[in-house]
Amino acid sequence: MTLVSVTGLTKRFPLVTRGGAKETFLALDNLNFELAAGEVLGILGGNGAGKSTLLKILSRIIPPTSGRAVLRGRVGSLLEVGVGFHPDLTGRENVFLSAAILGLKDREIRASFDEIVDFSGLEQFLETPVRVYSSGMYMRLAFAVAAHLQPEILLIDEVLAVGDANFQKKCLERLRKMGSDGQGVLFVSHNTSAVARLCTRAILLDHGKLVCQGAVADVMANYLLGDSTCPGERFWSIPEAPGDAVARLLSIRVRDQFGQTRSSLDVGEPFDIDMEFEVLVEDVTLFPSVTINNEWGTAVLWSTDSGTGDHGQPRQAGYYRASVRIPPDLLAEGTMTVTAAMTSLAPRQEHFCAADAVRFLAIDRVDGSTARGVYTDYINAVVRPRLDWCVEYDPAAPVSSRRTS
Amino acid sequence: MEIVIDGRRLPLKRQLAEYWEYRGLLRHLVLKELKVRYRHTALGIVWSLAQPLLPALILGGVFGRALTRPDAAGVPYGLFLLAGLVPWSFFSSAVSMASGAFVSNGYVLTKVYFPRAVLPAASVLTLAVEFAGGCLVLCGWAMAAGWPVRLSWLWLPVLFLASALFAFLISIGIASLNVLHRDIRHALPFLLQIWMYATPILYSPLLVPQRWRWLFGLNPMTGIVLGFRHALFATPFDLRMGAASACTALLAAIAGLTVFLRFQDALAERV
Repeated sequence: MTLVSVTGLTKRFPLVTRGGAKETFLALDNLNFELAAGEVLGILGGNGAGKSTLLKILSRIIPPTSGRAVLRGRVGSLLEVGVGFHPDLTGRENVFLSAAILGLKDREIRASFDEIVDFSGLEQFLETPVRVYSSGMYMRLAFAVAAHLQPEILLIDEVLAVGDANFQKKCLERLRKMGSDGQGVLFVSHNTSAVARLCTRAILLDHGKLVCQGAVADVMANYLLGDSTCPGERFWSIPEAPGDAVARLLSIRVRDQFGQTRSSLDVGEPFDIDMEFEVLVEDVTLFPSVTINNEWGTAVLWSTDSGTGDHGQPRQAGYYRASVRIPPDLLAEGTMTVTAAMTSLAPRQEHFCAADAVRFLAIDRVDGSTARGVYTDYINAVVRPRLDWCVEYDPAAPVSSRRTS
Repeated sequence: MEIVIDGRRLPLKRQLAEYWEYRGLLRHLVLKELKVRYRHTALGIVWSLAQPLLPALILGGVFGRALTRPDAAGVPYGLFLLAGLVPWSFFSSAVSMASGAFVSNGYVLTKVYFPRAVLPAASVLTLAVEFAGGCLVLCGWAMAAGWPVRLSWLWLPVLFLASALFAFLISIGIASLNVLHRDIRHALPFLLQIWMYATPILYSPLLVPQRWRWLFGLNPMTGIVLGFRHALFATPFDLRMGAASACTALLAAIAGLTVFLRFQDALAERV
């Protein structure tokens, strides 16, 4: 079932220029998309792409200039947490007030009050005015209210960056559950890994236009890498090819296991890095290598052709094709770049080194299929290989430090 | 439930249904306002009674003897004043608070949808609670001064509702214009002050020459104040003045409502 259908949605804002001339600013330009039940649709785009305007129109805060949107079902909109909180009121009073502003009826608030309090983890502070809350506590209470809206369509913007990691995880879980319960979520966030973990589909806005929509991985790759700078492959013509009188690089690309050139890859699946190079002189011992760097500039891995028969042997002049398979369950998620190099030793000489020649987006889904399993939290490590674990329960061993409380 | 967003105004019936759905919000906003106003005060809502009561006591005490006139029908001047000051101070504070409701809640308007008139309605209702307290004091004083409780007191709740509704309807218009032209916020206090002197609060309309009274009656608040006095003390009520008041009140209310309906969708963009 389609919960939201947007057709030709356009929004112009009046713009007063210096000369006083009346101009308009096109914030949304003829948008068309749909949200089906059970979908979590991510909205990506840079500043000024029109994401917030879109959400405001769908929330009925501002009217569109033309086009239309049809929403089928109860809408909960969460453009900001804690709207309507009053600092002098207690936590309890604010729960009721802000829930009422978000459109909940008293009966519904009372029904989920305990759950809200439980979710926020602030039961001791309920009778305290929220002005003495820490900002984290304030946000937790505010999100707890919002999380219990139980709408059929949830519109949500930039609110996940609240609270500590634990609370964030709780929020993400809640949103995911909404999707799997058959509700629809429209989700704007700059926190791209949250989008990847959460969304079933994504759309990308740029200057008010819908640039692309589809699988999260593809749309994210499009967003993060940008259209012009996102080749999953790269070719050089002879005069431009990196190299010297000994060897030169002709092409490099990233392919998935089915041979398709990709700019986004699932870390749970193997992929290949291919390169083509030419050797221009006879009988030199050359070491082709690839380095994968993550978005922080850390070299995550380095590899050379050590497993091949020609490794360390002098090569004939001519054209070569090399391919290296990166195993599944090795990389962490993020934007990766590949550096291809050709080196000879004794004396050490670098014939070419194409730094960051291609980029791709590594995506770690949280469906249990990758090395992270169902662990949804942020992982602070440059690789996340699947290793052999053994965890055994020993019922016979005495437990010396069991807590007694 | 299907919502169509196409830039056109919702049908009036749908709008009214929405206000009904959001009645809980209205109640919470009124409660919030009352709590915030009177939390940590020892006297609480009693403070709100001081506003009409204090001038009534002072002016009544000072000018009480000098200004007792036959046209006041023997009502002590202080009581006479209070009967005008209670509805007037409700009206003027309700209008000035409700007229700022969109501007002062601009942030909320841009972040969440709800039927917009809930905000000024909450301001008017908050002050109506205090107005009700003022009416009780007024009735109490009247009884203490020896005025019998009579059937015409039943007019008081009618006038109460009429003045609250009038204040609400003109306020939603002023509040919308206030978002577009912030001068209104500065001009309003002056306007209300002039309006007060144009209303027979400190004096009796009988002081106005007969042939100008209809003009005087065009002020909607004249009708309310005279109605209050008539209901309480059976002072003469000029029907023609009352009718003139009702007519202008109706026109002003329609104007307020029209302005609000015209601008309500654009409020969040302009605030």
